[in-house]
Amino acid sequence: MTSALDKLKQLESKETSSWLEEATVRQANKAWRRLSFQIAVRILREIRMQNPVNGMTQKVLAEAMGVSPQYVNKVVKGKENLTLETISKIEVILGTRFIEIIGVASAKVENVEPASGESVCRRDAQVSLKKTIQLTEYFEYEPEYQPNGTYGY
Amino acid sequence: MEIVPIFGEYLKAIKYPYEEKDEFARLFELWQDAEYLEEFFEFHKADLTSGFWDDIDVNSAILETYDYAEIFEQRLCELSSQSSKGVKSGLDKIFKPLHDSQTQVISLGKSKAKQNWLRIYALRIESNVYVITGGAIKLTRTMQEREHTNRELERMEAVRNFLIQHGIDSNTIESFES
Repeated sequence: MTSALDKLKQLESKETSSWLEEATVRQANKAWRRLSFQIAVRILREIRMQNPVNGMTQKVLAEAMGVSPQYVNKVVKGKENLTLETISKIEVILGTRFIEIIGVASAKVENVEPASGESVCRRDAQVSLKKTIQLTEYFEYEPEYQPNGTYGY
Repeated sequence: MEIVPIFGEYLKAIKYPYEEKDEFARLFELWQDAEYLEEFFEFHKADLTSGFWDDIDVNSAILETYDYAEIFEQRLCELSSQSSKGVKSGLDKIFKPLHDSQTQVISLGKSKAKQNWLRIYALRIESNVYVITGGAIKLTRTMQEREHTNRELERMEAVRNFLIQHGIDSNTIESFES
């Protein structure tokens, strides 16, 4: 008598599922994929929040970045191994930050002697140098989001 | 529809003619797709605060789903490399009869640290032989309450009929979920 398993085998396709191969690749790349996923979620939430205000969409983001909508779609699926350049570009366009370097942001530079009257110019502010400079002053800068449809600095 | 082997002799999945991939491969890709999860939880956000699960916002729901899918996938990868005997007993630990585990979710749901709402649905053909029919993010107590989970019940029924038509004894087919 033919068992249910034998009958099932007769119905089986010759091709095996692509799952194991795909899962092995996902597991091997899990460290950067997790970061990519987290950044993708932030981008998607930001687009959703900004859309009623300035019409932000994946397509608008792609145009502002000078890349194809297909590329942005890959980014927002969380499957792209993003470069720092790409992340920075998206941060500027959306006017928000997605990554920060732990430790560096709170580090202090001691005994910096500025030249007389010297100041550090940034596009949105001037920060006077003091004897002790907290680097957080530099790293906490966020490009300003402009609701009128312009982005960045 | 087609029946596609996943790994070993005992785990198979359905590939529907309107999908590019079989259900097992499709689900794990979907559950790690930020765009899909953001849209899904935004659409179902009322279910996140309905009291069935601990109150949770959309962002956390997306990230927890990713975590759970990753852990679940890792567990299955480990299982795939085991001997035939190991795979058999492993599958029986993963899958539970559909209606029993629905009851279990009610009593355990709130005490779980992670929101374990990922479900894989399967028909058990005989002891240790499972055919995956689909899966869902189940946010409500019963599958009938939402269109996407109700659809999974319909698909299970369609696959059951397909198998019966192809000579599998209907008495040996049971519904299971992970």
